[in-house]
Amino acid sequence: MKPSQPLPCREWAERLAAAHPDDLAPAERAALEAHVASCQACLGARANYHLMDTLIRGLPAPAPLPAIPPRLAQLWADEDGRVVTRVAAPQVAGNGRGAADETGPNHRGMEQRMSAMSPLPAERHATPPRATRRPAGWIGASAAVAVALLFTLVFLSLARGQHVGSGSVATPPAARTTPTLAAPLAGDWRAAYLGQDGRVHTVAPDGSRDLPGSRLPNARFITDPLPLADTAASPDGRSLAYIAGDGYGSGGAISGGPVAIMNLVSGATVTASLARGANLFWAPDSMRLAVDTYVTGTTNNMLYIIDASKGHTTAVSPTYNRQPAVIERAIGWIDADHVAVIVDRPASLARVALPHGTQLLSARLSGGPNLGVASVDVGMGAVRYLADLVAPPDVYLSPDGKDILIASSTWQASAEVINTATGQVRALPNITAAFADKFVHTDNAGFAQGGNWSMHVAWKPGTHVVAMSLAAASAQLGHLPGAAWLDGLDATSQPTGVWLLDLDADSATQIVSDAYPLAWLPDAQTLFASAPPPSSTSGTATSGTAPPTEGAGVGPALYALTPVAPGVKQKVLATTMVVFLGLVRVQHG
Amino acid sequence: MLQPMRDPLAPPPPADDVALVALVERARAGDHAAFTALFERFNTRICIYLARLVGNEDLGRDLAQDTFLAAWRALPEMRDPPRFTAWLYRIATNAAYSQRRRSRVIRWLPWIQHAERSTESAWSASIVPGPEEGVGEAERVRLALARLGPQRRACLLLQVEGGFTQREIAALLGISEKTVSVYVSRGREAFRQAYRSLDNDAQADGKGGHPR
Repeated sequence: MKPSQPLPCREWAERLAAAHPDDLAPAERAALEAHVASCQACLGARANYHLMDTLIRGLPAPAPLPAIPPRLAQLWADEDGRVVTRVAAPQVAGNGRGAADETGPNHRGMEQRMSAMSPLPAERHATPPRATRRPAGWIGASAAVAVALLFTLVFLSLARGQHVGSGSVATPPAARTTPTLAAPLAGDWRAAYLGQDGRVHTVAPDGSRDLPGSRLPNARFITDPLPLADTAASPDGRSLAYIAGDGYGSGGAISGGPVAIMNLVSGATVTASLARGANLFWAPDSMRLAVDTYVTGTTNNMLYIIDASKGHTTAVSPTYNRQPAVIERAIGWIDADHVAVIVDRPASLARVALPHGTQLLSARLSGGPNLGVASVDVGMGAVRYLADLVAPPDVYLSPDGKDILIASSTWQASAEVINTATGQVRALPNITAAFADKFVHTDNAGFAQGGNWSMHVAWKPGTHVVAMSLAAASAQLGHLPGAAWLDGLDATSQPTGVWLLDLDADSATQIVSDAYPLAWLPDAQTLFASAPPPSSTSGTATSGTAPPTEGAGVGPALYALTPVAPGVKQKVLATTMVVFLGLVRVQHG
Repeated sequence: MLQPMRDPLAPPPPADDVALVALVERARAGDHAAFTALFERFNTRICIYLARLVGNEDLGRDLAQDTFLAAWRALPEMRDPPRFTAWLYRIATNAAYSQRRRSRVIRWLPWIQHAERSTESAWSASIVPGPEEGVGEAERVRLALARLGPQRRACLLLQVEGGFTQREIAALLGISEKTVSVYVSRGREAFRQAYRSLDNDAQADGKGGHPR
């Protein structure tokens, strides 16, 4: 049959088909890119290959096994009736002592050594694996049966229903990776910020500071008050990712440039092979980043995963019900494999025809708020829809990936929590009531009516307590990191200070009246916050809700707040902060 | 560079990898709960991979059962826990190959004739009802995959579904990296042409091909 599409160049075909970032050396990839830029056949083939991947990943997923295979369950039941434990093979690179050295003689024989050469020795294992014996007991067998029943029940419950419509309750994923969010690492944690001298500074909550660090490559921090579109410090405190701003887009938002990742230990910086980014989220392993290309009002936002060590970028191809899903923006990592995102509601997805074999792309037919929260498997692209949203929402994911806070904002004057495992929505009436009279509606071109939004949310480690501020478009808020573009708007100030929202108890407590939370230290005792500079730039004060007063500082101040009933202990750490970068871990030596 | 910041330790392994290795080690020692956690973690991925590989969901699930049983039995001899994922995929692939060798009833090969002869039997049973165009598309994708030889199909799926590098696939299948590169390249192109052809046929038949 005559091919209906032009074949790629023979000499480039293999490199064109290499999809994994590590398949090609940088020089090979650069050469390929140069060729593709000048070859329509290869360009078309590559586009088709990407669509092909989306198609294959978008095939309806078969139902997984409902439980541990019965033969294995039976095997375990038999084992529990007569064995203690299996004997692990000795490590090749070790002292030659296996677990058998601790539990008894190692009976591993020739068969075992032979089978070690093959990963599939099943045919040789007609009997249960080697094990040392222990007294038989009904407790073990009963426990095994109980466990098997439990898993059966769990999987049966998980197997009910695969998709969720626009309702508020979703079924859990069929097989979900156990969250591996590590406990906060011990170490000397510091707040990192970009100072007005253009350098990265780090300061401890007691005010001690390190020598100024380097400037950030690509960041135009001297002439531009908003040099960075987004920043994120890695969970292990060893790397800093940032998106250098390269101008202002529609609506005054910063237009993001390349994503850069700086290793704070070595000082090396890599730039991701991604032209533009908007929002950064570190994976729990501190090795990957999710980045979206969110631009308000557009429909071509994408989600990418970046290998932080090399800068390699992989596009996620989200699919829902066999159709490409439109991602508005990312929220954060639910676990090691899933990123929470805001998506167009499935009903608004539609397929359109595009030329040159790209007919499988999707586009949003309807405009306006039509959004929902979903989970995307970053490897498979499968989208699990969780719940509808009122747009545009202020949405924040808890560090443990379990809860999504839909915070009070102009467009939704109520607080809710979405459980990412079940999709269940839980209203928070007390928190809603706390903010009901805090909204100041303003008129400005950018927000029509309204202008309030939650901002600078900081999750208290190990809890579901959130430090949050409600802000409004106001020239008076120009000192805030990330809010300078509001200067000049005719609006009313809305400083509501720092509130602590206990999502489990549904309670809200204001701790200071004019500051904005940035991040909690891992000890959950100290909160870094931003506020106008005080008249005196040093010292420690304890107050109730008295705000730091406007003073002679030349930039926004960085505070360490320690809630101490009935007040808050405040310490000024810096007064020339331009951008808060995050928490980093310092090691002296 | 921030001063003074220094890490005398080598970069730590990813937390996720550490957790996985810990599970594998516990499972190697006979911990049922640890292996159950591994099962939960890989159940969907392995089922998807095998279903795509053999073109039949029920058979894919059967082979997944064999895979996990074989994995449990072989775990004590596993020598490289950090490479558990690739090891498990190799077991799954071998299970599929063994099944193909054992049974002539299940037409794993030649799929091209099987697929062209019957698009109703093997495929339609597992297709979830949905929009007409979506069903047609799923059929075309499956048929296009079915037109690939088993090794090309395995290489392609390990790359697309498994996320492995070509070097990892080579080690996993016991073939050279160059061979994987050729299989993937030719597999991709064969899939593209097959899908296009099927799409054209569907349009000619008025059965929901993509508009142009």
